[in-house]
Amino acid sequence: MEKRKKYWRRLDNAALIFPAARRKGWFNRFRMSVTLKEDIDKEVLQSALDVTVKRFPLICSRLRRGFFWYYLEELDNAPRVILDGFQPLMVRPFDDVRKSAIRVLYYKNRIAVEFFHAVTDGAGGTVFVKSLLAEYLEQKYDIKVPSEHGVLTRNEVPCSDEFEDSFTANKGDVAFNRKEGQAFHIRGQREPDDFLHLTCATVKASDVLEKARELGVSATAYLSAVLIETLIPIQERQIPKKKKWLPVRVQIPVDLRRLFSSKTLRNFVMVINIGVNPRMGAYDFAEIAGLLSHQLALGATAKNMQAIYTTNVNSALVPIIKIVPLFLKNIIMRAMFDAIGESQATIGLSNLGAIKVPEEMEPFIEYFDFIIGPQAASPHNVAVCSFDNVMRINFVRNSVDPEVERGFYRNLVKHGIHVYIQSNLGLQEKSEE
Amino acid sequence: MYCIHCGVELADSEKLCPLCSTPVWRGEFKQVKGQWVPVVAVASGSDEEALYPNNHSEKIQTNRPWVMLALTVAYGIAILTILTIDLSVNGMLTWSNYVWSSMVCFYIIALLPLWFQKPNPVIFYPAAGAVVILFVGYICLITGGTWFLGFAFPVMGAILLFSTAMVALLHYVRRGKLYLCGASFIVTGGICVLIEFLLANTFSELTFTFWSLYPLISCSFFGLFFIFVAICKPVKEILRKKFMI
Repeated sequence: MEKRKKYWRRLDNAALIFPAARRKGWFNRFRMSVTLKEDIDKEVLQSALDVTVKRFPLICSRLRRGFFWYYLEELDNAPRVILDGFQPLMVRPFDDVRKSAIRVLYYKNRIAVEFFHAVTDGAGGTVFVKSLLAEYLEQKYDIKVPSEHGVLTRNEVPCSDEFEDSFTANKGDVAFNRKEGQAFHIRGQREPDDFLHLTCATVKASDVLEKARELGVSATAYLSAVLIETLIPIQERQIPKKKKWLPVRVQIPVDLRRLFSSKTLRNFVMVINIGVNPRMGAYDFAEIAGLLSHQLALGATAKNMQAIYTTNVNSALVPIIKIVPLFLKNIIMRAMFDAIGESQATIGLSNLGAIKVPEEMEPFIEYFDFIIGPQAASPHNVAVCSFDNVMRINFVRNSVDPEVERGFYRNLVKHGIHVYIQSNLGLQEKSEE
Repeated sequence: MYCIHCGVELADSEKLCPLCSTPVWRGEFKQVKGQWVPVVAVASGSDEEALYPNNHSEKIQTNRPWVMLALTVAYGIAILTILTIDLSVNGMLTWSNYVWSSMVCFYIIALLPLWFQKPNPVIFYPAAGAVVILFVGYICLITGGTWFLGFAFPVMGAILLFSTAMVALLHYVRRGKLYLCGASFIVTGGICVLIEFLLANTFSELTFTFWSLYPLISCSFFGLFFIFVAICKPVKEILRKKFMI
């Protein structure tokens, strides 16, 4: 029998920056996990992964270097499932993604998958995790899970639409300059050993939605407003001179699949920055929420998003740039990333929204978790997802002082939302004794 | 359990509130002189609800030994090639003596410590110094010189002994850096005198003119100044304020 050729594709337009922007001890990663009601069977999980990887050849892939571009190549075999570490998104050498761009981990009743952001985004990662979970449940409990709500049939051949670089495919005619100027950056001392603090809050999704509806805004706008409400006093404290205050902005990723009816499983997400400028005066909470909601509505439109990413696509299509060797491209992209990449927003907040699964899977699942690693320059990141009225807000930080999450969660409590906190700090403290 | 400052409910795994570091007390409380105090000071959280395992033993795997082995083999091949070329061209070892000995010297100084995750300078520094002394002695031997035993060996040996002591003290003793600085200035002045003495003793064309007195006096002055600053705390404080970086 003739051996099938391995799937491979050039990195999509958004992913180009991720290998270039990496630095020692940091590269852009995120983590999707699902917590079940029963403990995980490692052997079954490995067996489910062995089946699932064939369906997702460009997610279960490794990063390879060409002379002009990076590319992703399908893995020969599924990676081994491993026991989770003492923190999410453990510091790994970049060489790991040359072996496998994903890691599948388990701990007690939790399955977690850590993705290098160059292979896919949160929505693509969710599809992979749901499909892996469906296969696991089918093998473990002998049930039949239908292919709906983002669960893909594992034994079918991957569809070419799933490999599409949707940025290039949906490129527009108008390119937009997205310069917005500097935003406030939280000052703080980095953890010397790069320990990543995770403070996870469990709240009722209905409570958050109720509060958001009272203000006439979405849950994302509401949570962003709570973040801005927290960050404004921090800036006032850290920068006493009012004339030096900068806008406080939250970076919100927008899933473009819904706007462009794309089926890709690769990156198809674009960020918009929403916020307020405290130099203009004091804002009350309702005012902030209203402003952010309007900015989201104005920014997250198909035409606006298309104009923004068309700029990036056009620059990658210039013939002279195409023939520049990869190492030079990396130097240029790294310099651009350092200069403007993360300077326009104070903090990131990524809301995956309500995760739906087929009815057959629901009785086995407690909740989903979504964690995004800290950015290169900003030590904080917030990721939110909800499942069956359980909203999990995962706050990560690699700096020492927890002032942002402290303010954020205290503000939620002040708004009348019950917040249940778990962290990875207790065990860290204990192990040091 | 709720944090009294933040108002959030804390999981059983939490030992402190992760937001404000307030300790979580799970023991019973009793009233003593109007104050509520814990009967049992239970402050540890339960592992049952822990979000992450306590497996700090997970280490980042690096392929350092393989890289170093490959580098060593490549280095060995390079030395053998050089020796072969010299032998085949000149029929004996001539210029390659300098090359192989300096390459071995470089390997021990710069590459040997890379085999280890955390090379201890107290071991590798004197080892590197000893190798340099041997290298200089070998050069003296193959050039037929007479300056090694009479001059280079005692000077380099003295410098190596002194600097090894400094490295060890800096590595293991946290305090007293000003004393070390003062002592190093004074010893440097002393070594200058030793160098002049040995120069005059080894090379007949040189005479002992006591030029080393000038560096000895100035080094001793600086050394005594640092020791004075180390002893006199008010002066130390004033200087710290004036010259802090």
